[in-house]
Amino acid sequence: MTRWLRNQWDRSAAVVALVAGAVSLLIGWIGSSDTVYPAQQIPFLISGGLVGVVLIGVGSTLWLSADLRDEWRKLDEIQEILLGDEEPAPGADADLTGTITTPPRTETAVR
Amino acid sequence: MNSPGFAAEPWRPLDVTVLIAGEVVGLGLVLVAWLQASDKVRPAGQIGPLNLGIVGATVAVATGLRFVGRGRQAVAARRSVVAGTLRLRPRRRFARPEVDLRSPLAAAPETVLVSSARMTRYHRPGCPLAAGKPLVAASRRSHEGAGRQPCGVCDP
Repeated sequence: MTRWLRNQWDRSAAVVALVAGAVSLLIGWIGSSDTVYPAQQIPFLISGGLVGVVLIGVGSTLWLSADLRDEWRKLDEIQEILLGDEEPAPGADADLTGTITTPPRTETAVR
Repeated sequence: MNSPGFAAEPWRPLDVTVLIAGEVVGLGLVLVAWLQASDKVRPAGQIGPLNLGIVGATVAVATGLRFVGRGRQAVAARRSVVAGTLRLRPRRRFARPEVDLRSPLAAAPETVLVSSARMTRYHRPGCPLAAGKPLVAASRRSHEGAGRQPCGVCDP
């Protein structure tokens, strides 16, 4: 679990931010629904509602950036394979230059 | 493992700096707005802070969107480079792939091609693009009958 959290720090942080955002929205709603005075509701709107929106935005950004990082790593792997394929190792049989091997994948790339 | 000419991540350091600065400034504006609004007892005096808070939230969300957009641009550009590399390569058949012990399908005969219900391309069993996916083996005709295209990497 700790290893997964370390490897997937961006997704872990995204989940934390999304949960915190949802809790913030809930607190804002409960706080503002407890009173009928707008002057008491507006601070809840700001602290609960806007902070919740910002946290949900941060969580979404982190999650989407994690997906992009995964795709970037996958493109790295593909490009490594292609470059290796174009430049056969010295002494290799010329007919076997198309041999393809799958490099070991990092845990972050396996989902 | 980075290919030459490419950074470890799709973003430049400036993009990360702008993201962090935008989020901090946005969240800071929201907190300032909250403190100012809490000090007022009349709603009329809270509208200004509320607007400030909305500006802060907009800055934070817009900065996040910019960051994701930059990342998508970089990934799309890289995809084009990889696709260009594929197009420039002389077409040749792959020799028998080395057996990938993680996939029992990898040891299948050359004529067996793999894909899954949600995939739009079919692959050779050892293709890296098929690695780690739930695969089903079928004939070329069956894959093409399902509307799938041959993979551009393993060229089945």
